[in-house]
Amino acid sequence: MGKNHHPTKTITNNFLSLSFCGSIIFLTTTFLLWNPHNDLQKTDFQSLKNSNTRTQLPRGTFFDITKTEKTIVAVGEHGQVFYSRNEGKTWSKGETPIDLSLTSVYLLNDNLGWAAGYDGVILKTVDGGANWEILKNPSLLNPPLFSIWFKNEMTGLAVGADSLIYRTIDGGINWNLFKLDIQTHLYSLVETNDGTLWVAGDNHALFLSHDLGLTWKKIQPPFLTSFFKVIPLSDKVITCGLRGRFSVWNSSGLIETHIVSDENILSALQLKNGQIILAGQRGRILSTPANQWLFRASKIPPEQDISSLIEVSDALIFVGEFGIIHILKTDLEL
Amino acid sequence: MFKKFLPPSLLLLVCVIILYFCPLQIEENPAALISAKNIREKFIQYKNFNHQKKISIILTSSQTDIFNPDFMKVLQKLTVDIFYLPGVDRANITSLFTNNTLFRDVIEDGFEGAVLIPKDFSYTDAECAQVKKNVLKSPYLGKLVSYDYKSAVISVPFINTKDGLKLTQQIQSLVPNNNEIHSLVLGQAPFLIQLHNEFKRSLIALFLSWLIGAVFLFILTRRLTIFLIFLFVPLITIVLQTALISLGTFPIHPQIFSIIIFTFILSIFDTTWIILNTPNSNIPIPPWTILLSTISLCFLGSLVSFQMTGLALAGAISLVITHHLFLEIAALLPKRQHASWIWPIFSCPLWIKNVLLMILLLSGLLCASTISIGNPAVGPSMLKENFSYWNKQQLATNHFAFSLNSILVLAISPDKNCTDPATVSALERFHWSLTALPSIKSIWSLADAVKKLNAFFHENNIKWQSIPREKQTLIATTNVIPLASGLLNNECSLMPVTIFLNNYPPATLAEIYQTIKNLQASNTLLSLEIIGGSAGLEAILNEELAKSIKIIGLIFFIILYISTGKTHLAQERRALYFLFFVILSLTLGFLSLLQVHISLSTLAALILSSNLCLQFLRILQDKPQSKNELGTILILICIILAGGLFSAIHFIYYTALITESMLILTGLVGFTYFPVTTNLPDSSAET
Repeated sequence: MGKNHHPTKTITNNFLSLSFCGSIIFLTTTFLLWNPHNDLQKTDFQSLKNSNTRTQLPRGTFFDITKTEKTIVAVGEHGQVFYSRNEGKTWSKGETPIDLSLTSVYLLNDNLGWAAGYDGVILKTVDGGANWEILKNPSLLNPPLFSIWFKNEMTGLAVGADSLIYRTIDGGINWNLFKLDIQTHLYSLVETNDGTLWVAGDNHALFLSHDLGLTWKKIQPPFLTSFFKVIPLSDKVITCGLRGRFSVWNSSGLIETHIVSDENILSALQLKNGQIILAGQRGRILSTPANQWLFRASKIPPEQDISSLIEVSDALIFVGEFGIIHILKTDLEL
Repeated sequence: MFKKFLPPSLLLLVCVIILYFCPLQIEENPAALISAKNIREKFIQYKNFNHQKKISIILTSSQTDIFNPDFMKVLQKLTVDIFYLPGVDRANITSLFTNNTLFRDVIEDGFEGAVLIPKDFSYTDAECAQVKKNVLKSPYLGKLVSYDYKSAVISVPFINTKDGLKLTQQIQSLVPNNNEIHSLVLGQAPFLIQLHNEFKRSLIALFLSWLIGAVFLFILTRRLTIFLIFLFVPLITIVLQTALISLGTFPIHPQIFSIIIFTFILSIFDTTWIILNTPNSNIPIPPWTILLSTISLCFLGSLVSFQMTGLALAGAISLVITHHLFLEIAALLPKRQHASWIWPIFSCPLWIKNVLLMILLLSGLLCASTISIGNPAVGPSMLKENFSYWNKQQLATNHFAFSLNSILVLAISPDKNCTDPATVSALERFHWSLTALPSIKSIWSLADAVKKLNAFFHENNIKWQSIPREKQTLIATTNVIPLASGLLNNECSLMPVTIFLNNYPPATLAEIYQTIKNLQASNTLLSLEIIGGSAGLEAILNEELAKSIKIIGLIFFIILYISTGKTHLAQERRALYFLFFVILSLTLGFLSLLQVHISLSTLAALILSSNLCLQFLRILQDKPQSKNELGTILILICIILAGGLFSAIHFIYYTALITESMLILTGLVGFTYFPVTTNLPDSSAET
């Protein structure tokens, strides 16, 4: 019997042919479908953690963060907006139609909010930060806006460089431009409990308004400084600014002032327990009980500038040069 | 007639070549590896921006920080000593004690600034504390002083790259190393010195394993002539190969030295085969293995690295020449029976073997499915990551903003417009788009410096960290940035961006490459080119490899098919391919498990090992009675390559690892499979 006619050999030969064809098809398919950089996806999934796609990673500097009961929104460079519905545990990327830095964000409620930024752009969201539309078009001729605030759906103000104040009473359809009678850049705009508006900026500019920004009264500080942030307390406001200057004010003027650090203080926040937290250059954090002004200093890594912060149930969320950082209160030396 | 004169002519040729042999020149510029002319030229054209011309000395204090009189005195003395070394670019040397390191601060009524350490510094504790404050206000934290304040850096540029090695050795003799202060010299030149030392160690290890192999052969054959032939013939082959390269006067980059190692292995195969089969053996290696190897490598070379083509051709020529010469010598050797080895034969039905092999093939493919392009190892691709030299350097740079792994991207403004807001904004967009990529430690660019300075001019308010919209403001800002920072050139046309990485994930390199391409496509103001950096070279090679891998693979398989098509029956050919694919998939799976991915050196090793493996299988299939000799050769090659497994140099290690894996698998699969498929008598029975 010839070699090829042996039944076992024939089965073996058929199997060999099948195996061979199978392996060729398998190899060819693998080869053609093989993406040489396929571990890109693997790395991305490891690094993204809480996000769904690579483009949703916060990157670069973030300038402001704000919160309401259910929504947190952070804004930053290149039109980046990130929002969270679960106290900052996970973040989603908001869709914005611009590529400009956004420097300030304000939420009136869980859904309605505004953001302002470079080239005078103002954006509006009605879905808690997921989608944004242009309310005021940007222009290269417009100076940057640094703070935005809205009383209600219709009336709001935005302040910025070159003493500019924009005011709207029709929900942002029209913006009236005011210019303060001083050469300054306005960085912070807040409302106190009694409805007074405070605005502060460099070149020791501190103004208040009792008529929703129609007229402004200048408060003359007895020292040279620049104010980067104003925050309202119950019956007064505190300001913080250049080279650690910390001051407490009421509508009559200065109550007290302290130099609390060598570094600029860029933001401040009153916690639910009344404690005041100051944050600034190179990761500097200062904490003090309200009204006692006994500051305790620490730093958060990475030692980069912090531009804003908020409090959530068990943690503080910082934004700044490092992006967005969520730090448990127990890990901070407050 | 021709046959009569061929050996003496070849002998004469070998003598002439070796006579004119000059030591192989080592290529220091990694750009030489790249075939793509436009990319290679960019590497060379802008080499002044590259880090090849610079070394950094890290001094680490054992005390709380460096701001103490003792450390400051040492730092100052070393700065001065290095400053006066001939060949050092004195204008651009940077240390806490040089005049080009300034701090700036915003005060209530303007700015203040000065050199970090004043001229009248007198080493008191108070003055040292003031230096620390100055450093905090300067951009040098993370660059000249570590974030934990325990280390300081002296950055030393050279006037000429060629002085690098000599100056590094001089500086290494100057730096202090005692209980109080530890020093480390970083840079391309010290790395090359270290690589050179490691290369010597690896060659010694390979030489020792070669000797062990020769002794093994001597024990087997009991003949001194064979022992000597085994020692000298492969040596002649690689001397001839390097001589040919030297005659071609093109230097070779260390990364493709694996081709020389492989020529050596092929020569050992050839020599041992002839010794054990004297005098009438069939020619085992030529033509197909050499031809297949050379053609595959030529394609790989033409697509990725020209140097590889040159080295492969030189290897092929030297193998053919030594083979012909050696055949003449071997003919003179008397025939003798050698000791016999019993090779394991697992006799079981062929279908069981087929099923088992199919399972192995699928398992191998499953494991290999995660393999990707690029070297995932941490650190410079030429040295293994667990190597102590690398660990020390990694530790030293942990607290700095820079690392050893960098990519240098050159942003070229054709209109010399580095003060144009739109141009700098485009650069800023590139910088920003890279910031969130995994593994990036820091990025240094003109755009970032401008943003920081713009904020500084606005009292360091972070909200001003942006590119000024007005040209005049941007001009005023860029004027403050010194040329020594390396962020722009005098003509305002080049803006280098240095990307420092924590390690080398191929994914990051691919993404950086993609970001550059995307930005390039979307703007006309800037042209972006990767021109340097250890990881930069890796990124380009990976990308070139990724582009051409499918073509290389197809060419390889076509050559494979042609080479086996004429001499075998269809059934035999299928069996050969099937076994080869099993071995290849298992090797790839094994590499994937070891996190070894496809790089220039591993691909070359894979191509060459595949050819060797196929040759083994073919001989086993054609002449199963030769399994005794083939097994001996296999053991010999494995013994010799075992020396390479201890090498700290990646390409030697990978070559050894891949070849060993493939050959062991070939032995296991081949010896198990073929005795049953063929009805030829077993050679061990004959002997």
